[in-house]
Amino acid sequence: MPEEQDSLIAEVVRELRAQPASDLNARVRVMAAVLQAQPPVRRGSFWDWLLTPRGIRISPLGGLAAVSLVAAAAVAIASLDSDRSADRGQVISTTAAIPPFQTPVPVQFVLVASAASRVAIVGDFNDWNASVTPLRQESRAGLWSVVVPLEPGRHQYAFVVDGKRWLADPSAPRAGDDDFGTPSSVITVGEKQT
Amino acid sequence: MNVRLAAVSLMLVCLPPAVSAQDVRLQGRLDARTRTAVQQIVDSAAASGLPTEPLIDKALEGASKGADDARIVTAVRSLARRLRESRVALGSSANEAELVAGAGALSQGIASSTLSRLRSVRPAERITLPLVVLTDLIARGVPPSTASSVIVSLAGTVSGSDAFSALRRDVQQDIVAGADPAAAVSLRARALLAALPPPPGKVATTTDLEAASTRPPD
Repeated sequence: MPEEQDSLIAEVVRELRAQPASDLNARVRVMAAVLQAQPPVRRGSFWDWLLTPRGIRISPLGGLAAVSLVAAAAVAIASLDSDRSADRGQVISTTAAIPPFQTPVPVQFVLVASAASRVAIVGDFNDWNASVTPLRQESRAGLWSVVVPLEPGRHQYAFVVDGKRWLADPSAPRAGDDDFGTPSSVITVGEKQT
Repeated sequence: MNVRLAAVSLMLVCLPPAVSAQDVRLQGRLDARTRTAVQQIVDSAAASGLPTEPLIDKALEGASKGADDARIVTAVRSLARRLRESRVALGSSANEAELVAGAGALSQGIASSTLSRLRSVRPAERITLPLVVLTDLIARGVPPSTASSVIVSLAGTVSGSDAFSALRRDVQQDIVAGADPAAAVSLRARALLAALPPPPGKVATTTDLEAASTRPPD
């Protein structure tokens, strides 16, 4: 039984290994067609050229030279940028020294103006615009108040009563550099060393 | 067309930052001629590395107070000059806050040499707060010479900023209570000196401060 199986297997192997008869002319035609076949001409744009993968052959020495060139260019650009920064040193150092974030501090301003029908506060925190920050009348006795978030620092301000009368804050020191003949007051928020 | 577009884009990217637009806050607050004059001062200050926000703010203050055009331009120009003077006195390492505080002190009649002395006694620390307190003391009625001497002496004696905050607070309380401003600042400065430990290597006596409070700054 095993011998019969062996002979059967051998027969199958022989059949499988036997090459089928082929037409020699057909082979020649196929190969000729393959050789004559042209790769598709790429009439593409610059992008096609740019995006087509390519192999680059380069010697180790050439590679080292290329890396050296890139490194030299990077150093030169960094040096140039450093020179420009030095030219603007005042600005750069100033920017670096300013704290990245300053939390506004709520400050309450109060004025007693019993005859006033409206009061506003103007200052460097609202572009001296009298229509931006009105005070609210807290009592019929003429107490006006508003809370303004101010960034730490020194601020100048004044009250505008009824849209025309300017008043310095009687509870705060006067600003010394009044260039316009109208008094202003000064408030310093926070005690940070900036 | 693509080449033109690329060229225009390149020009826009490479335009120098000095070519600046007018500050929008000035529009509608100043007439065109005044706005142009103010903007020229602002641009010049920016080119010199000076802070420009105080200049814009000064122009807006003048416009809000109804000042005439010439007065606004003069005020802005004066502030720019004080900022420059402040930088000369405080040195190139001064930051924006120091320059503005220095300009404020100069506007109160403080000599630029006082700013330089303040910097020299505190070369490694920011002196914004001493300058602000100096300005506030004068605004409260303390004579500039007395305020300058006390602040410079205190800055050279103690470290940190707590002493200046305390000085301002205490002097303000004394003045509100009716004390003479000059006497109040001298008294409070001596008390602070007696209470605060001096930094290593610097020893000042109450006699130093007393002499400072009566000596003209320069």
